[in-house]
Amino acid sequence: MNGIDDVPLANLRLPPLTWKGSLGLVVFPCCLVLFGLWCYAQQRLHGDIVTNMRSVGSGGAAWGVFILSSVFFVGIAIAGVEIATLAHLFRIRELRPLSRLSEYVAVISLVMGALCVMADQGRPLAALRNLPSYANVSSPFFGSFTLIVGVDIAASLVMLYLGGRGDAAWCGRQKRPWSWAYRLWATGYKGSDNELRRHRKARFWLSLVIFPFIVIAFSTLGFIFGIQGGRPGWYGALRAPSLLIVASISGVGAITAIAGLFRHRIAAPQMIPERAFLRLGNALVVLISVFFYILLSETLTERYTGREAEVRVSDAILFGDYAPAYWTMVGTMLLALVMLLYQFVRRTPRVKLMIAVGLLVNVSVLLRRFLVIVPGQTNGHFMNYVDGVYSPNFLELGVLAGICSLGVLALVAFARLFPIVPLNHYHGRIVSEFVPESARRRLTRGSLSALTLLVGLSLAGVGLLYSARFGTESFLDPVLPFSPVIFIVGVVLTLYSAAVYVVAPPG
Amino acid sequence: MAIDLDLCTGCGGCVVACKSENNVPINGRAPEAKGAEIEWMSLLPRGSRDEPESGLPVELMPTPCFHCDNPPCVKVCPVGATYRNDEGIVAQIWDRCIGCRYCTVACPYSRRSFNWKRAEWPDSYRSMMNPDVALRPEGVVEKCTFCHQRLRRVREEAKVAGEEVPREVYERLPACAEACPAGAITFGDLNDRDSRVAAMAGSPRARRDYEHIGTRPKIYYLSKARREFR
Repeated sequence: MNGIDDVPLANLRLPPLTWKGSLGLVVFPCCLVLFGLWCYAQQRLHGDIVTNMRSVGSGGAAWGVFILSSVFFVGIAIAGVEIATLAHLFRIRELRPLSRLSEYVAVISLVMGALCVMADQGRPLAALRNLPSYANVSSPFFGSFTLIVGVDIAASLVMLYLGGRGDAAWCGRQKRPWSWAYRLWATGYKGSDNELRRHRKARFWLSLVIFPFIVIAFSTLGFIFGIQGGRPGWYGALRAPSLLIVASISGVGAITAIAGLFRHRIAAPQMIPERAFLRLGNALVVLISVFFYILLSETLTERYTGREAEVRVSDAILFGDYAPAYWTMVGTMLLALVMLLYQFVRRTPRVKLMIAVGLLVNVSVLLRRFLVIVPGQTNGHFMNYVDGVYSPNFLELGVLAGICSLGVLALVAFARLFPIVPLNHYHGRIVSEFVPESARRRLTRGSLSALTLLVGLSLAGVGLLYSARFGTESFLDPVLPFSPVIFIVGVVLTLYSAAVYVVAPPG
Repeated sequence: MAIDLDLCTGCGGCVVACKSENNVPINGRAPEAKGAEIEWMSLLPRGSRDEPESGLPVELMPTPCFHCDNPPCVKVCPVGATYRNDEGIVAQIWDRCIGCRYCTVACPYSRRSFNWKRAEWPDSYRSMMNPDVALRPEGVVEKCTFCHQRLRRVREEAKVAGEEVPREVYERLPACAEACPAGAITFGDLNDRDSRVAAMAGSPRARRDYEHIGTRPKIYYLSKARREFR
């Protein structure tokens, strides 16, 4: 049988960059990051007036490209976690090679989403201080702040951590400048049968918990818009499910495109099987069909009932200032669907086609996010305000380009330093002999995991109750200071009990 | 608050008085400041676009914050920077606001203003600033407070004197009501059945804006030319 040293793990990393590659993947993104920092400095120095965002009612949009990008990135992250968890839950072998990339894309996207939200805040430092102190459960932002930014990052990290320990152990044994970091990652890892079994068990249960959890977390983002009865164009019961479907499309598309691009670059492309692309393509066919179904039912509902404010928003989207964006969105998504159906009918995976589809659906989804968030602010006011149109200016796009470039740099760095395919699922073990675990160790492990779980659940419950102003009037501060943070810590500990089960006790 | 549109002449006195009383920034008419204006009280036209064929005259509506009984802005604020106090006034804690602007997009009436830049006033105004009202920093949302500083002052004065605040004092208490030359704006306690504002709210001419949204606004408009609000 194969020992882990026989496996060409190095072939699964991005090879050293050529000067052209360095220019495109390192130097250019670094320049964009610097430009983004300069743009953001302008925003902070002169106020948000340097952006194209303006007050609702003046024809402007108070939420613009930052919020829509934030929703977009979080959507990609959610789909990343979905792919990773589904691969483990349903043991979909073709998707397992993509699980690490999905987890890593999820972590990066969440950080990018959080940065977009921070770029949008009028007082970012006050946000960093006041959100942990006072975040209120009645605001859908509470869910975004605690569940998405706090907990989803933790969940993605723990999945990444557990899944990467085997490969980190191998990397740590190589004579490389960063080998200490790999050894730290793989602390305590032996690769024994027992350990691998625990790994599998922990990841299965973690996936089972995380999957519904991320659906709830992302729904809170949908509720930010969907439950606003006073904002025509936003209000609707389908808003959260629709956002989730669209998030899945963009995430699956993004991961498909990234995996396809990496597949062309790594030395062992066969480790990302072509059938994985066929699977993802078929999933996209279903998701895009559901998307069109929801789009049609939303449009019919808005136009048939004929509430004036709703119709004005719908008019602006279908025939007015936003029509080019709308019809481009429909066109690109339809084109992607046709390409996918071609692949589906031929039953032959086509990686280049899937890369193109991944890019197309993401253009379409970005436009969809724009059309959900912006026209409802610039058009269809109840009061007699002027209608208008919003488009981002170069400063906003500069900040966004900086954030995206940070994501590219992080992705390239990860792919250079670490295998992007989790090889240990197929080969990995270091100690092949079966050494039964002593009863005492099992008991210690069980007790530590249960204790972590119990403490986590208790803290989450207490944090949530006090964030909801339990025992006081809703407008008063929480009785327990930093209740939202306690809630986050509680949920994170609950998820990390899986890691404790795998890692503890050391030795 | 009750606003009699049949008495209102659209002179804009309420808007000016509000700006002056509450140190509302005057951001100028530069093109880049368009859409960044801050108004706690606005004169909004009613009828010109909604019902062009109705033949009804265009009304100018003095429009402050509606201080809803079920305020969407309060529910969505992530840090509790805005809240509905015991008297039903929707208050704002400037210093706690993080500038996320969720309240401004959630308000169906768009009666909240964001400080898109550092507040500005013409030099001649600086000596006339009201010391009772805090200046708001850049990056926070602000709105009408029903001149709570005046409310607090009359109550404190009455307490010192050991008396009740007479109803008539409340009626013209906010700056907009005090400045209205036609006496179109009346303030008071809607729960006090004997108050003038409660009587006006019960008038057959009275209506509230967009009640179907469920926000239960506390501003009543009185007008003979009744219109259905959508």
